[in-house]
Amino acid sequence: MKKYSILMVMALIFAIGHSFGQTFKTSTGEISFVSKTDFETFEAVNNQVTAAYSNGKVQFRVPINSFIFEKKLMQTHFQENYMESSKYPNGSFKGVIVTPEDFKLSSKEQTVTVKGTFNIHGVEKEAEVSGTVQNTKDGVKLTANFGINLNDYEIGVPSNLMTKISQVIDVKVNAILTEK
Amino acid sequence: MKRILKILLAIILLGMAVAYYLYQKPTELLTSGNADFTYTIEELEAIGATESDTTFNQTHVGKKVELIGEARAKNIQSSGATIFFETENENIIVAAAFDGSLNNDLQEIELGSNLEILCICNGIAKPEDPDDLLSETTISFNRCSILNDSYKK
Repeated sequence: MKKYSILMVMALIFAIGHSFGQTFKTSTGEISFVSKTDFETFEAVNNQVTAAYSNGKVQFRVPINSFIFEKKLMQTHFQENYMESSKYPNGSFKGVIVTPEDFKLSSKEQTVTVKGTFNIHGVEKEAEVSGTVQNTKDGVKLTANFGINLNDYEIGVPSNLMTKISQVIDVKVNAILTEK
Repeated sequence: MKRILKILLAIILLGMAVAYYLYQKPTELLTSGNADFTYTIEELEAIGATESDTTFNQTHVGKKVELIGEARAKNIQSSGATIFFETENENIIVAAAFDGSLNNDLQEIELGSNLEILCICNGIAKPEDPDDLLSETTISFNRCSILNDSYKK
């Protein structure tokens, strides 16, 4: 009987340790953004987001040149003039789920707040981002919607294009992470 | 005088037409032409492991790179697909993204087959610190086109 109790306790410790140590990852997450002004709307999509989740911590890495625009000229301007992608080829976010405080993965979609640091265009900035987390049969689904203010990351837009490019860009993230 | 005005007007109209054409020109979704670099995946891994990310990115980002290697995994979605190459070091990921228009060809790729592709390099990303959850080094490419057809099932 004592032997069984010890085995049960060991199994319980292993199970708890396993659920806490689980890491979920993807290299094919999607990020898109939209810039809307009265004069022009444009968007870009990127399917090469690497992301990881473990025990309330999240991390995203985005290759800037993977954003695809409809128009070639916009893509070139975005990469070379605004994001300077040969100098800063990746953007990233690293954060921790702060609300709900007792967050645990669940099959229910949960709205969360993540506090962390963006690194975009070589500029680091702390931020809080709202999103959702859901443990689905395909993996852990992460979504987020947030705004990026170009001034915060020293992304300069020429004055003659101010009316065509929004100062705050709406960003959407969608990724399904599988256990690694 | 009237003739000069007509010529000027024609030049202005031509300039506007060229500007409009350049502005509306769609993004090329498939890479073509001559490669700036040609690597086997082993060679790329070696460069990625030895060079700093700054050096690698300054040399390769935005350049046309021909890659030769074995397809390890594929992820095909309506918006596009990604092929992951077999690497000796499991902590190095080589990911090549393709436009959705190539999905039918990519469905035919048998995992383990040899691929030759031409892509634009998006750069290398190495872990920033030892505590990073993203502990792998990723070398990513996009707008890839397939150069060989020996991969077909």
